[in-house]
Amino acid sequence: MRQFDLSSKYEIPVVEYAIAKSADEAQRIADSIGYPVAMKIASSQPIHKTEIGGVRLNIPHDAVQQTFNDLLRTSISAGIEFEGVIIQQMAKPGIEMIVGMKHDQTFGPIIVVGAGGIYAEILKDVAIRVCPIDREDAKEMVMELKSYQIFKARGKEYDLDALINTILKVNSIALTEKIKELDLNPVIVHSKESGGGCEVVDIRVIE
Amino acid sequence: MLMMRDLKKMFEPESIAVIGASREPNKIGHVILKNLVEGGFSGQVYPVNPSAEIILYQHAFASVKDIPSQVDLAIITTPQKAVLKVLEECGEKGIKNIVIITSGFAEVGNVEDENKVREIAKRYGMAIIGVNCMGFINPYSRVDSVFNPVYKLGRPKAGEIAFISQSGAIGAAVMDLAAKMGVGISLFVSYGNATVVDETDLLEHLYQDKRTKVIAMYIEGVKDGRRFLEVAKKVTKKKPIILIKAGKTEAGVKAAASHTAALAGDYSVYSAAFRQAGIIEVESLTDLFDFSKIFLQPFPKGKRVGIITNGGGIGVLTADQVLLNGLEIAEYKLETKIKLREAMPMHVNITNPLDLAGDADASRFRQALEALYADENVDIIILTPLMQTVHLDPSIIDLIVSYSQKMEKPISVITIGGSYTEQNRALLENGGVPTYTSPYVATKAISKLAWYAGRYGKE
Repeated sequence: MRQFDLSSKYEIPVVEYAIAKSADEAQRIADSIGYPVAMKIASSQPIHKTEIGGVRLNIPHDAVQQTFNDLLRTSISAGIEFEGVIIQQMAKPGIEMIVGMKHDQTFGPIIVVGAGGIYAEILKDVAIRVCPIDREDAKEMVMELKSYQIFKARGKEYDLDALINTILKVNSIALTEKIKELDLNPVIVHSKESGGGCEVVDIRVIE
Repeated sequence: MLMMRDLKKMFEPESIAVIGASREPNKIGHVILKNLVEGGFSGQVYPVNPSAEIILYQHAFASVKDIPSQVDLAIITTPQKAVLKVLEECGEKGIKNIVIITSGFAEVGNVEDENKVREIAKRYGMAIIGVNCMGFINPYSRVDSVFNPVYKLGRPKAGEIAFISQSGAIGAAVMDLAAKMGVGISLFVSYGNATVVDETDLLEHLYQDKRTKVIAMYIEGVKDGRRFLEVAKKVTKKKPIILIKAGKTEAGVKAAASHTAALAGDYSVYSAAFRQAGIIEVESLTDLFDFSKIFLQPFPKGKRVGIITNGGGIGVLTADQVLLNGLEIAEYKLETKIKLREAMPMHVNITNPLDLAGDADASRFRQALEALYADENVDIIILTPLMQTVHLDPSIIDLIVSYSQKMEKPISVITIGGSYTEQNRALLENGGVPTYTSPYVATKAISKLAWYAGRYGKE
């Protein structure tokens, strides 16, 4: 999978996952990942999974097979070709961000950082730059977001450096890889007291 | 990329051929010739028209090739069908600078002819402004290819703001507005389809142009985004660029596949690129000049504002906007406070805004202005004189102009009122004082000046 290639090549930390083709396989994968897990429809088509009910969180051991079958039905009724179900470790709590890139018809590769997760397109709290960018630019992008206030307001220190590193990795991808669009969403930024770092839950590549 | 074009002879020609010059007063080719002949252009003007001998008392030529001497600039106003032929003739004649007013090219789907224009330009090494444009006005060399009659469309005086516009209609309307507002320009260029010379070439030229201190732009899009960004970054370090972008609405964004594409629509990328280049983006055509003219003021050392008024309300409104736009209200030095206390009657409170009260005359304004001008804690001075009072006489105009000409601190005036106030405002503007009719616009413009001075002022 292209997503997997990118994340390993650029050392982007992705929350552990595997794709199950059957309910039995789902159970085996979930057992090895550890409970609870997140389960999502796997699809190479550009769909908004949450909007069609294709994302289920906090699934315990006993509900894995049932959830697999639910997701199979959901994808059939949504008219999506079924490619399996992603079984993923539940991400540690943190602040959800989006980091992405696209090729703009006028300015070429550009990079986007914003408030992430399912509300990304509603909040539209984003900072945009034309690539290439340096560490200072990346820092400035984060600081100009309204969401930056949240990083400061929760009384914990979040690992902004980890987020900035991820932004710079996307900058490298934008400059080297021939892909049209890329979403890392959400990128979960952890607090330093919980060990720091950041993790990407979902990667979407449009070639 | 392309080598930098030398456009000096384009904008300061010594001889001009008007191709498509006409005897008919309502033809574009006539108006352009008339504007050149009667507008004070000191070089040679050659009308070119195969079926006329004399136009506006000038000897006409059947072709540019018949003109006996060198021609620096050709302005083409012929019907579309004739453009390629006369352009080729210009090439044979060795004319290197061309303005093509004529439309009917890529903007109506005729890409083929537009490519031919480009090909001819390349073959002869021509710089071409247009096609489909109004050309330019250089108030210094008195070259004017704008085909609106002077009695309908005012021409701004010579000044230090250059204005380049993709749209001819917008450009012309803004020129008219600038003339009315008393704002001077160094150069106006309407570049239409940017067939050969594009917005980035023009920026390169203005970067070098000694008369231009500030660059105002109207664009719908840029041809080569990355080259534009690179050049604009260089230009803004030396001269501020104030820009308005049309075509902001985001058709097509909804269909975007990724969140990133949905969040970064075409316009938001433009806006981000402008920011990255240090370009100041404005929202309205009047803001374009209201923001540009403040940049002819000296750079402030900081963002502490002193407000002098004779009307409490307008002073308070201004103070609100000062703070809302990220500027600060200055705290006067102790010696300033003492000086003011001694000079002012007791019903004037020594505060900022400094309300000189409704009975303030020009001499009270003089004392206040003198004190704040000398105070190192005041970086920027805003005067908001209500001209309508019994005591205030027009000598305040000379007073403000004389302080403004010292060029040590930025001074601007907000004055609100009807035709009497408007007359006084125009006098101030003509004296080089940036004037505004609302605290909202004035403080926004000043905050941009303070931002720019902080970012580039020390370089």
